[in-house]
Amino acid sequence: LITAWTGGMTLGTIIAGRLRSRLLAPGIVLGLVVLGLGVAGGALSPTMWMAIAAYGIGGVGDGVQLVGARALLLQRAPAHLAGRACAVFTGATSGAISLGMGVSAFLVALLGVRGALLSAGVASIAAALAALLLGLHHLQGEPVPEMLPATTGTRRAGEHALIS
Amino acid sequence: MQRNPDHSPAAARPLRIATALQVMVAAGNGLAYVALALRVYQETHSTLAVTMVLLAGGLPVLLLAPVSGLLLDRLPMGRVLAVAGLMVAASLCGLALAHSLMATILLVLGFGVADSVLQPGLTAAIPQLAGEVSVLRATSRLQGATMGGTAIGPLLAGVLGSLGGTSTALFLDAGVSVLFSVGISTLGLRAARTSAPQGADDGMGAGLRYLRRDRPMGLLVVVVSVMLGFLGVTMVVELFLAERVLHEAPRAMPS
Repeated sequence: LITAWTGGMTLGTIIAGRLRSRLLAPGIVLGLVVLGLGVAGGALSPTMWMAIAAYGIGGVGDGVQLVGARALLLQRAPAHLAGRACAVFTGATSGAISLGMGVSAFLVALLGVRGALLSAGVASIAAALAALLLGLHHLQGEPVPEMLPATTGTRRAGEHALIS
Repeated sequence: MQRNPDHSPAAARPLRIATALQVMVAAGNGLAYVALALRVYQETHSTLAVTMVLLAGGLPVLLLAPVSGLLLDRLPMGRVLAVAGLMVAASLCGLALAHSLMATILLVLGFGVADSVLQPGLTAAIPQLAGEVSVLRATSRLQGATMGGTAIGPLLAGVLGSLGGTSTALFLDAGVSVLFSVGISTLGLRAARTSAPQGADDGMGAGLRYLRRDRPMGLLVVVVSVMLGFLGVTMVVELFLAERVLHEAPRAMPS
């Protein structure tokens, strides 16, 4: 299962690298949906081979979001903040994974193995749909201008790059 | 300009070297965590002890994010990453020799502190390494290398662990980290801090404040983190699925 996921992720990173800039954000949202479908598919699989196939597909989605989100962050964050922005991103994602691993035993006890996995998959799809509703598929990889003291009245300076 | 058949620019030497280094680092991380988890479990037979070791490696990445980010932005990036690589090497040498649980946890904590700089640093360095390749293509290349390394690491841990024991595997991994430190120093990464526009937010928490200000990007980080939280659940639950559910299915079918 882990090898299938990693293999899928490697394929996803290659696919993401070949996307056109304007397709990157929609690609991330689609990748998140595929990730959730892969996990949910794995949960519902009656045999190991079907679970492996589902995980391979889910891994592709994970690979696309992995590359896409980092590339967008690097393209949008001011150069002098790149290290701090990447550190916050890495910290948030690592913390989330640790938290998820921490509650997994509780979820298994509550919902059973398949139920816990299915709920994680469905919740992932729901999060991706929330991203769609928030318009995150319109994000563009354009640098966000630094908010200087004179312009602090512009509350959402970064939203200029959110093309609707 | 040299071009690939698909008309995208060829990767420059620094990006090619960084790709090889990324494979080594990811493989080394995978090797170290698998070898250590196995050793701790064999010595303690406690899943709590294994969890504590894994948390000691992972928590610094979250807790030290503001400090690590500031170091990466303010100090010469190549040197910061090289020092972090040497710190990993020192921790791994210590881990190869230490066997008590407390010493293991403290040394893994040291490993985690260095990793809190390496992980974001290798991402933040991408625009400097990309050269004429787009940031997206360079990110794809380096993350692909990470995945390749992640796949190789546990395999190496198994092979090296069975041939020469966990200590040999950890010493070899330490050697790889020293090689990484030397390699990263040759890539010509930024030697001086990038100057911030006058009056711009440039403090320790500026990374977090930037993500609040760039609301769409901040929301994307939240969504991706939530997703990865659920992925964290699946990372553990899939083991139960493989062992308890799917392996039992063929045996259950005839009855």
